[in-house]
Amino acid sequence: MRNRLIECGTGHVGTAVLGCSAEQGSTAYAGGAAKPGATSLAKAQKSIRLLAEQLKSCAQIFLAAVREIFDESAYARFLTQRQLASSRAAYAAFRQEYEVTKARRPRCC
Amino acid sequence: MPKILRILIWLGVALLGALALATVALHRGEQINAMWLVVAAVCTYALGYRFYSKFIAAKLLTLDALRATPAERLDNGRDFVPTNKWVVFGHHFAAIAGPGPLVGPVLAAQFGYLPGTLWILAGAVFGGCVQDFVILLFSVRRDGKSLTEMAREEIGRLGGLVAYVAVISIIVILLAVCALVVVNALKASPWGTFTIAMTIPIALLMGVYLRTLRPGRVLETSALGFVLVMLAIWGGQWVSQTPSVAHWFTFSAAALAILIIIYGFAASALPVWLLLAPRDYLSTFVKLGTITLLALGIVALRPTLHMPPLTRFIDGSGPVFAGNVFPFAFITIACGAISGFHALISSGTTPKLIRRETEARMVGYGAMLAESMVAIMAMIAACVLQPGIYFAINSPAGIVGQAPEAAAATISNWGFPITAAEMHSLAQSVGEQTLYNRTGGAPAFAVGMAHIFSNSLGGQALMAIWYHFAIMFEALFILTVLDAGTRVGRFMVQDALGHIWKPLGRTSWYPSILATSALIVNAWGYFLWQGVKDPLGGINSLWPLFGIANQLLATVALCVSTTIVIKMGKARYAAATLGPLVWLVAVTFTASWHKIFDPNPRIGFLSHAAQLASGPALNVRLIFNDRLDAVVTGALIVMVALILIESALEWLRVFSGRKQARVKESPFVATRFAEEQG
Repeated sequence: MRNRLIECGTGHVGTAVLGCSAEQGSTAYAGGAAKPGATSLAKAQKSIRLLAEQLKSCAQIFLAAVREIFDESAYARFLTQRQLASSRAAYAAFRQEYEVTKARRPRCC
Repeated sequence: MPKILRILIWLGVALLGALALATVALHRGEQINAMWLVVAAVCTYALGYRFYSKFIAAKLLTLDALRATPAERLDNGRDFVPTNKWVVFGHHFAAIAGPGPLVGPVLAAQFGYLPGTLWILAGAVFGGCVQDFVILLFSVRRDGKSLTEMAREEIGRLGGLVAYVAVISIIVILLAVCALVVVNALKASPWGTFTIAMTIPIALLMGVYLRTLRPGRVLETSALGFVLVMLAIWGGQWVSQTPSVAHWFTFSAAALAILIIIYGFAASALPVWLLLAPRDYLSTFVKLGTITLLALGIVALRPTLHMPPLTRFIDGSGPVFAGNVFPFAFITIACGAISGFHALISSGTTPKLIRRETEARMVGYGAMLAESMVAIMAMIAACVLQPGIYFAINSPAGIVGQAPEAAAATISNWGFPITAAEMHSLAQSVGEQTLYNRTGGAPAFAVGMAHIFSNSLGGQALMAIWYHFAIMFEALFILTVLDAGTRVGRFMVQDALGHIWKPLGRTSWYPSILATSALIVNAWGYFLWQGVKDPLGGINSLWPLFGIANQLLATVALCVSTTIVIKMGKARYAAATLGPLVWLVAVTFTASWHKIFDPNPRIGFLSHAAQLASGPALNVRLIFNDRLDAVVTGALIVMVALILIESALEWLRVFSGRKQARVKESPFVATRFAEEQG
């Protein structure tokens, strides 16, 4: 429980919250589904759903990683912080603010 | 899982790894399957991560899950953002994965696959991963401070200065080497040149699209850019087959060098959003996809390694670059085993994203293991080629001769049979006029990659497309490093010059932008020109210089790490960072000594200069270049010595009690999640 709190406790747009909802969902399901005398078919269905949720969670994390790498999450945070809608002007302001940070970031050999 | 089962599983992994390593190391006279390298690597990495990184995390660093990281304490939604560990892992890997782990192993394959593979595995597990992990954690505990700042605070002002000079040196040499690799890959290749030339308008179009049509939709824009690049590859085939058009895209090495220098200057001076950012996105998109594709291709094809485990060139007479297996294999492969440049990333963006200290292990140690796996794949791509083909591609004309028949005869005499007809047929199958003397590693890697891809998907009919896809991938990758590196170097020079005269430090003042861009471009452009004019192919002198500079930076990072470890009162565990430090010092000092003073003119800069001076045709420029390279190498090694001495004095002061063992960490603040725990 403690680990889950730490994993999901941050409330940021974009990266930090992703990967938590599916985990929580799967935990809740697992708790609810542990009924005595469940048939083997129900067990199989449960396994498949669990697997599907885990795959969904993986896909969400992958997408979040890609969005972070490609600065889409940074732009989403920028819009949230300034309470702006996405527009040419907002993106130009975002780029201006991030220009120096981006240009100073080394790329490894 | 029951404990006994866990023990049995890890025992199984260890036994399988030992079997694979034994197969890789002990097979002589018969070819082995590349999967043995993959299995050896996966098992070694699994054991290294499970046991060694855990030991470092628990005993040396004592990671504290209850201590708030700067991402949490200084969270500003911009630089400092608590981020999911897998997202940070991806971000960190995308930043550390460059062309180095692809090119280095290909060049080192001239010794056979064994020395390079063993160094990649051992170097990563005991050196590179440890360096990345500890520097990341130390930066996390210091509010995300950079390596140079930590060197100044923990070792002394000299440490900070040496780190700064080392970073500038490595950037300049790195950019020259990268540019040279691109020049050698594209010379006399209209197809490759057209494709790469097209990436510039594609990046500009992406920049405009991103800014005006679909603001912020980077993934969508990158996907669009990728489709356009694929069309450019396809169009390149038409260009190469249409002599009237091909003529416009066929350049000599010197002409390409000038074009790349002009491009570097433009990329540094143009607004980031217009060229640098979109090219960076496009490059990352292609990079992540291609590395995944290569891994899948190797597993699907399970190719045989044709290169022997050890070649006769371990004695230092190699045609790709001269020098004995020790120390030159260890500076040739840098990024796949240990790279000082990674310390800049580990003390740059990544520590500002880490959400919990305990996650530094997966990000720092784990991402470097993934990078090392890329190096293993590059080694496989080089070694699946017939050795004769490998040496024909990678040997400079100065060694094997200009004429195809002469080159084939020379290489066959080394014990690696090849005919001019085979080389001609291979060149035709990849859509090139010739593959001889294509030094630098990129073309050999591209041929190996095309071989793996075409045998897994599409057959021989797609060999040319895959080859040019690989060339595009490498060149795109490298040009991104080139424009980002030139800009980073420009900012560093502006920071330094700003102390002398303030306006020079202003990053928005155009005269300063142009002057400092010109300064950096001239610096790497000089070395590039020198490499292009070198009859031995340039890589022979410049790649070892780059390796020495990169390992020098790793030495600085390990000096900082060891000093902090000792000041933390953990001297009994200091061997974890001291061990790789001692090894790197041995490697860089020996390599530098050879590069400066070795009596063999193919190795020693000074003996080569003396040979030129006493030769029939006096070439003043080449003699000057050799002496300059000797001075640069000497300066680098003096810097290593200085920082080592300053670090050792600091350790002695702590051990003798003259200085209190105290590190300059930010004060402990409990994570708010711990408070929620009650």
